[in-house]
Amino acid sequence: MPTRVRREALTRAVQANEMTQRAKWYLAVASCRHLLTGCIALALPGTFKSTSFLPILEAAPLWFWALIFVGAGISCGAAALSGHEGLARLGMGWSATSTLIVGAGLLIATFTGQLSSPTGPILWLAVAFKDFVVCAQPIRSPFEGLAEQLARRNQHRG
Amino acid sequence: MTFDWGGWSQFILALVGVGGLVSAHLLNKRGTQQQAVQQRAANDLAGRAQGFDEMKELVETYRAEIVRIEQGRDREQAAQARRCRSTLDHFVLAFTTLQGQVVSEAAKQAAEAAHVDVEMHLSEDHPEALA
Repeated sequence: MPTRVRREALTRAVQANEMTQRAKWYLAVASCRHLLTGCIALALPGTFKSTSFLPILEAAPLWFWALIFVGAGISCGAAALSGHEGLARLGMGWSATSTLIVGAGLLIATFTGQLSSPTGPILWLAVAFKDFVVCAQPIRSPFEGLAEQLARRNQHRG
Repeated sequence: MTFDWGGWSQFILALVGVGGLVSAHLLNKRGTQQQAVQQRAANDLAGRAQGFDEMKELVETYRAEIVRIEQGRDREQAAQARRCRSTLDHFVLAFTTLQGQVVSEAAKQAAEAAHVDVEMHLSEDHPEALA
């Protein structure tokens, strides 16, 4: 009977699909950004000689920031590879906060007259807010799974 | 007049760090909630899509059965089958409209009215089907 069919149909839920490709790529790029910055800071600390970094370096030594960045990179990279939502949210939060701190440090350098280029705080703060925007979004999109499921069904019919 | 940023920059960066962590936590929470809302909506849509498919199959089965009875020799049964066809056609029309306007309240009401018609028809002409 139609009522029974309708009730049965509504009880069948769509399984949450895996992480979207968009989220995976975003995490992979964020991971590369943090790992490269962190590793360069660890291996070649002399390259961070711009006076713009002085407020950040006065707050904590370079190796400390390098470890923070490496940690964010590892978390984002592991999330991109495994598709694990918890790791992804940890990585994005870590990435957003660490980028925000550096952006704020460069902004302070503007007021202390130590900033060597005005683009530094603009870019770092923009990337930080971009990370925050991603934090507020779903990492997995159930609609993509649904669309894929319906597309497969239509292909079978076609 | 110059402002001494020495200790203040450390304090501001620490404050920014804490603020950033709290914001990230709250935004992540919001993202998770948003995801749950989308998941429920997707389940609802999937349920409707699944229901539409099953309903189509059911209608086709009934239609084939009606055609078979109409082509039979029993005139009384053929007349009965024509009445069934009329009710089924009415239902299919409402159902097709509903499929095209899944979220329309008017289409839902029309489909529900057609469904009531079907149930009335079944209870009057085919009480054995409801048993």
